Amino acid sequence: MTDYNDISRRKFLSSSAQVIAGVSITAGLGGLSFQAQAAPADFLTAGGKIGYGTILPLSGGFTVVSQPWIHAIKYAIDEQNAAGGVTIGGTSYEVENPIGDEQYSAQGGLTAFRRQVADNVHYSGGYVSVEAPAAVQGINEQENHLIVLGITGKDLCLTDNKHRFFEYALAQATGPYMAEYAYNVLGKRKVGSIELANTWGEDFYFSFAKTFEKLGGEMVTRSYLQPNQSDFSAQISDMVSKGVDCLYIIMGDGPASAVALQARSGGLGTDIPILAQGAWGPEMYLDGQGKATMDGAIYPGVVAYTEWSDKHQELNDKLYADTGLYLNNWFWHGYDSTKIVLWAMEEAQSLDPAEVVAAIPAVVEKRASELMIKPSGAIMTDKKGVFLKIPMTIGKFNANADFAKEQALVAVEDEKYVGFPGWMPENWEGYTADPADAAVNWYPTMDELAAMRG
Amino acid sequence: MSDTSILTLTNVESRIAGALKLAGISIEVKKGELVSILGANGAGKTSLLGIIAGLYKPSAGTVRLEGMSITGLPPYRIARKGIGFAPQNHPIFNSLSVAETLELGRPNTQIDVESLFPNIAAKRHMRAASLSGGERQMLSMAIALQNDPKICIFDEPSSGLAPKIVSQVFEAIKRMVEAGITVLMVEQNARAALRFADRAYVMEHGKIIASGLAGDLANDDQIRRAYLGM
Amino acid sequence: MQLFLQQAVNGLMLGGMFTLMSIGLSLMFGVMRVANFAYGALYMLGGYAAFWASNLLGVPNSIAIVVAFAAAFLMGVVMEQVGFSRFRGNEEATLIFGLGVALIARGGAVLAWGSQTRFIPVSFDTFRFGGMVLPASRFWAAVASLLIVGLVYLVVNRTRWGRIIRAVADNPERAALAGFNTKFQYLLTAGLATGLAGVAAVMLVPVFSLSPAVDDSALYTAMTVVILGGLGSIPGCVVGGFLLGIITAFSYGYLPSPIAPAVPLLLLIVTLALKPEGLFGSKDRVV
Repeated sequence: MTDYNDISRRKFLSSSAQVIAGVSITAGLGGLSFQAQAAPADFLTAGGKIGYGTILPLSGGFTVVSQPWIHAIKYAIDEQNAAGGVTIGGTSYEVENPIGDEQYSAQGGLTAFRRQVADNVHYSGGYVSVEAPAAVQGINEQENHLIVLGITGKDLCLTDNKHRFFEYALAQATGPYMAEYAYNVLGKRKVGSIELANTWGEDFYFSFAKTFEKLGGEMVTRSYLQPNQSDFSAQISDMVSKGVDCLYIIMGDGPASAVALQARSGGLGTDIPILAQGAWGPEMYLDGQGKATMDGAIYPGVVAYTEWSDKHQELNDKLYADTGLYLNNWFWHGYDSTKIVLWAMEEAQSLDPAEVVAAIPAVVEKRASELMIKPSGAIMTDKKGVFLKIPMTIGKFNANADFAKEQALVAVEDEKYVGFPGWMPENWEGYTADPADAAVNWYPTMDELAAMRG
Repeated sequence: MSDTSILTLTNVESRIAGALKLAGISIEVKKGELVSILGANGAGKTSLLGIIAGLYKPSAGTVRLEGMSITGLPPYRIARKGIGFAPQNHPIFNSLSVAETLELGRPNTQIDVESLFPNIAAKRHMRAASLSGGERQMLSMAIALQNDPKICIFDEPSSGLAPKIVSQVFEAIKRMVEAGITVLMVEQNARAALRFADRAYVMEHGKIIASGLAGDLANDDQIRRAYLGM
Repeated sequence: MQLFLQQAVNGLMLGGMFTLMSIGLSLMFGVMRVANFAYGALYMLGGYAAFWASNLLGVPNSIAIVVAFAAAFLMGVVMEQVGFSRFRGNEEATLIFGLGVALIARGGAVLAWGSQTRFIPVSFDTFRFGGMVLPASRFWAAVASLLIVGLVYLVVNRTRWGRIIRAVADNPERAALAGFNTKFQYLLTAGLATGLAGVAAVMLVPVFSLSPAVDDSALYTAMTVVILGGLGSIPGCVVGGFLLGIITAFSYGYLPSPIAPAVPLLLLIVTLALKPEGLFGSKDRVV
């Protein structure tokens, strides 16, 4: 196969060449400077700053997810500003960070997005729900807005769109590893699952199920979390009666806690492991009951989530002081991705999102060592945006950890599941196909993945 | 009957949006008396009772119960001070049973309410909503009799009732008075009212235009013709 | 058959808990004719009162119940005094006031305690017989629910105070003329009704867990139960609770998951179409 990074570099160089050629022509014809063509001023807010907006729920049950994320973006921006801001063409620009309320709804996300567009903000990160960015995507004809997303789900991120930067592992890449771990390492054969009813949940279900069934396991029950559902006794009883030996919870935080609690007291005792997807973090284990319910839950996180360094300590202290929360997977969604985009502005020497997004692969390659999540590069697609290549690690939650001083997620011992590729291979047809195309293998098994990686 | 004043109204005045509705009303009811207030529709009788019961505040004047002012107090405090009131159109508590209604307050010690109103005593276990008009009136009067009030006030106890029931109601009032209960009642049925009452006041256009012993008023030709329609 | 029986038992236990979750809302509607849209929020705040009593002070559940009842009682009294009493008869204002309080309560809860899920310790013990699994926590919550609802029924229907609040609910002016301080009775009733939301939270949070977001599902459940059973009727509330519990258990147990949540709603719609006043509702009925 062709090395994809070469393609993206070539593409980047060619697009840069086009810009330069265009500038030369314009300069030659009208005597205009480079700045007139891609003037940073066109992309500044009323205050003369670079607008890098955050769109996340500010209230409701999802603030556990959104607060670390909001602060991660802010900390990354603060660090950049402290280091002199973003320098383009010799001029340094300060970055400002307007925050819009997603309200965990499509309408909330849209309203917040439109507000930022109106304020001449050209970069937005965040979103917890799948519905909000999907709605934004649906109406967004803007050529000049870069959206940074941390949400997977093929109907969201594998649809043609404008400038998108996906800073999280695809479900298709992590599901097979979770399935193999459950089957081979844990020795589990009968999985009962419960998922959020959307493209995000569906991807985590199928990407797991295909490999698990291939190995000889059985997906015994599949059910969904419904809006306003607080009781799961019927679903748990169904699982108990069918002899489920492993519980797969594809949802985060509050609902996940409720499912786990009711499973534990409903006949799926602590001897039955929980496999988790979504926002799982220390905040779920603060009470004795949370610890008793979910200690040892198995979860695929970014590498940074399973490590602890001085930088972790510094960020954790800051986050705790600001929010009363500890580092979780969602923090890492915001922190490094924001830095990557800000650095890409300098790399591109432009504030035009089209040019900035094109510079992301080069920036990631150059500055990977400065990033906490240790990306292996980025994949530039034709029409679907840039996908960050993030290594992932399967870990077990240590609910009894001192979250102020150590990580909640502890990497498993088997090296195969530590730092595995959390991205789909560059030659996967999903990067170019229409998500509605049933002929495409949207959920390759572990074997098929290995074959693609060559 | 004694000379002890139970209820005294002195120069009570009521204005609604500036217009004088009641002017200079002075009324006295003595212990053990049955006093009736007569008058045509719109004379201001019900407004006057509303002021006594605390539903409306007078713009001037005082209302005293056993010499203590109760002017302007809220209805429940006036009720607790000793005024048992059965309003017009016999409102009761539809969702309660008759028995529950009879047990809302302490039973009257001067008269046995169940023997006073055998009709409703026989329907103890029925919902109040299912009672007839006359029975509703009796139950409403029974509520007024609870907690041994110093005075019972009945507003149009006979209105809307069949003649046979009217006489039962008046008979019951008569028995209350015989048992020593002080009663003030407003009636349009002047003939019956004057027959039972000790004294009466005649109201017209918000003023008292005549007062005296019931017998005297009943025999006053001018009053009979002009105001009582007799 | 085994699973069928299990789901039936699940439904019965859930029914008991749903009834408890709804009894305060029913009482408030029955006596005060107030649709309290802050009810879910009060349940949530009661849950936090219980949570802090249990986790911070380490008190047993019996005392947590008293703390939650007292806290929620006080909130009900304040809401009545500040809002409902002023808006009596004005349904729009009452609705907006309730929703407003709910929003403030939820926002305040997030600010004060964070949005993470909290738990009140509960044992994972299960009673097992004949292959059936009865989670101890649920079983006791359901039993306690029935006892509490029974107690409320007795208080409302068999005590003098119960007669008084029903009289006040029925005809406040007549009640005032009979010597009852209606304002005070409304305050007491509002306090009792919301206090029951607090008690429900203590019993149910161990089963369902707690976060500022539980207010929505509590309000949704309570509204469904109360509308099903007939607004303001305690027996209706019990029937509505059990109906919703059993329907929920069976629809989630046997129907495709995306359809399951629609079934209770369908039941609600059919009930409203055939018997708009609810199964046990009638125009003049009070509690």
